[in-house]
Amino acid sequence: MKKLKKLKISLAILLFVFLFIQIYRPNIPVEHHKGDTPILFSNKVDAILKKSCYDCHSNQTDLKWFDQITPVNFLIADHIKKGRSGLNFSDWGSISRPDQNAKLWEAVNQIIQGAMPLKSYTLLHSEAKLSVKDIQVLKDYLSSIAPKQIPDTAKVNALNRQYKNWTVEKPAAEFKDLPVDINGITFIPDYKNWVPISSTQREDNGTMRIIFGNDIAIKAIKEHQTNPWPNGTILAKVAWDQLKDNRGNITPGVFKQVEYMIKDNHKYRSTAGWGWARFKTPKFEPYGKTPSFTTECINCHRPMENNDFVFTPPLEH
Amino acid sequence: MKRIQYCLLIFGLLFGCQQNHPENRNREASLPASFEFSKLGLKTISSIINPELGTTSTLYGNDNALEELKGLTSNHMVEKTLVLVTWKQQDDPRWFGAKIPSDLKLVEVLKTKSSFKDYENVDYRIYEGRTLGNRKDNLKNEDRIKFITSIQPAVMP
Ligand code: HEC
Ligand code: HEC
Repeated sequence: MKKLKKLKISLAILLFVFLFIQIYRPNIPVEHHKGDTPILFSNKVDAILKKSCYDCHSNQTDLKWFDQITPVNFLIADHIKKGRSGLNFSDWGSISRPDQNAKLWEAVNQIIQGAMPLKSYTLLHSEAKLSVKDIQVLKDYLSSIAPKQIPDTAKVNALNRQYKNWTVEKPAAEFKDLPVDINGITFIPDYKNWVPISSTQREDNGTMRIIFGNDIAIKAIKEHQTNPWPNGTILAKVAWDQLKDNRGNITPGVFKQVEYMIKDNHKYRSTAGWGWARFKTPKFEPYGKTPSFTTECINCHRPMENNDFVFTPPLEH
Repeated sequence: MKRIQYCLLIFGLLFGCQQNHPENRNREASLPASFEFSKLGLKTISSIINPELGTTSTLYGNDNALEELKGLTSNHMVEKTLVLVTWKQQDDPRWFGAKIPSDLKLVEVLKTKSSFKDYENVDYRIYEGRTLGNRKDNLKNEDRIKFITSIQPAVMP
């Protein structure tokens, strides 16, 4: 008998606490559009993104009643804040065309890999799940906007200028002061003497890449220890423009950038165990205005979480 | 008996973990160890894609070969090696919009002690298939020599 009474009191207290905390609510700024919003992509594509992504990736969040219960709403508010900061369709017009394209390809790839929409969200919002048909609509749209490669004399001239400078210039290894990025990562000129572990042709942005691994990476591949990669591993990815020649072959055009992933699960604990850096143009201009630019790298690599955040399946030479 | 159970449990755990995170590797694109590519000590020179055939190739060479391709020195009497490795392309299963190497198709090896322009004296060998079974090609290889030696090194500052 006593036990039952205790239980009743406990439940009453819990209910009280639950009702009381409802006073505390996160502030989720929401814009409501009067009339039609402009079409960003196509009717079909916009409809899919609105249905599945807009709650967290636009200012037009449309929360259900159960999303508004404390403490669930704090979780949702956090998702919305993080979601909007990485991708916000309401601010689409304010980012450059190449960035728009990159974000859209990233978005669709996150869907294909099952990383978006968040699992915790589709649990209660099953209408946000994408069908196979939805995904095909998105893929077809992307294929229609992918840059088509044609022989282009402007690109050839740009390469010729860069090539001439490169073959007469001092090699980077002789630079006195190698560039250092905002997180203290120094440009590593030796990447080009490492062993390539893969190459990619990117139809989404018209570039081609070679991915190199340092000695530790190559040893790890030989010993089948690539998931996770051992500390000291460095992967370097070089990107060039694609150039189509008269024979129809595609070869590297201008050098665009080198990116590094440097494995150290202590030093880089807060950034998924890797140091992330990007150096652009043959002047190796460090990318990233604030130290947290790495969030951008990690978020796009996140679908590879179970693969130590690495996309490339390395081949052995 | 208990010990065996523990062992089984530990093995199960180990095995379970491995299953969660399988090794990351591109098996079909890897060169057979017997080819001893790494012993050649070559640098990467460029990458070239043939969209019609759906192939991607990487060109490697020793320093002397790279110098000649860059048109820097015309030092004739040194050993020069170029290796062109060609793979079939596949759609990248991890990134819609990208293509990555799949099956290894062939390896072409060019060696000379003078200049690659001296086609007559270039030793040309071709190795085909996943195992790179040796086959020396004497037929019509001048076209391939011309093509391979005409690849401009990619800018890698
Ligand atoms: C419940 C909220 C929620 C929904 C719905 C959602 N996302 Fe996200 N999204 C997030 C959060 C939170 C992040 C930040 C990374 C993380 O924590 O996983 C994110 C990150 C991303 C990123 C990486 C952005 C960056 O920083 O570069 C992309 C791309 C993305 N989401 C695409 C989508 C797409 C496409 C949809 C719809 C199919 C979608 N998301 C639906 C919450 C959401
Ligand atoms: C829009 C998505 C996206 C963003 C953002 C991104 N990456 Fe990647 N990254 C990729 C993809 C896809 C690959 C696979 C290779 C390829 O296709 O180019 C890759 C590959 C790499 C590799 C080779 C190892 C691997 O994972 O395959 C490195 C190194 C790398 N990225 C570094 C960076 C750094 C540093 C940043 C941030 C400055 C960054 N990436 C941001 C998509 C992205």
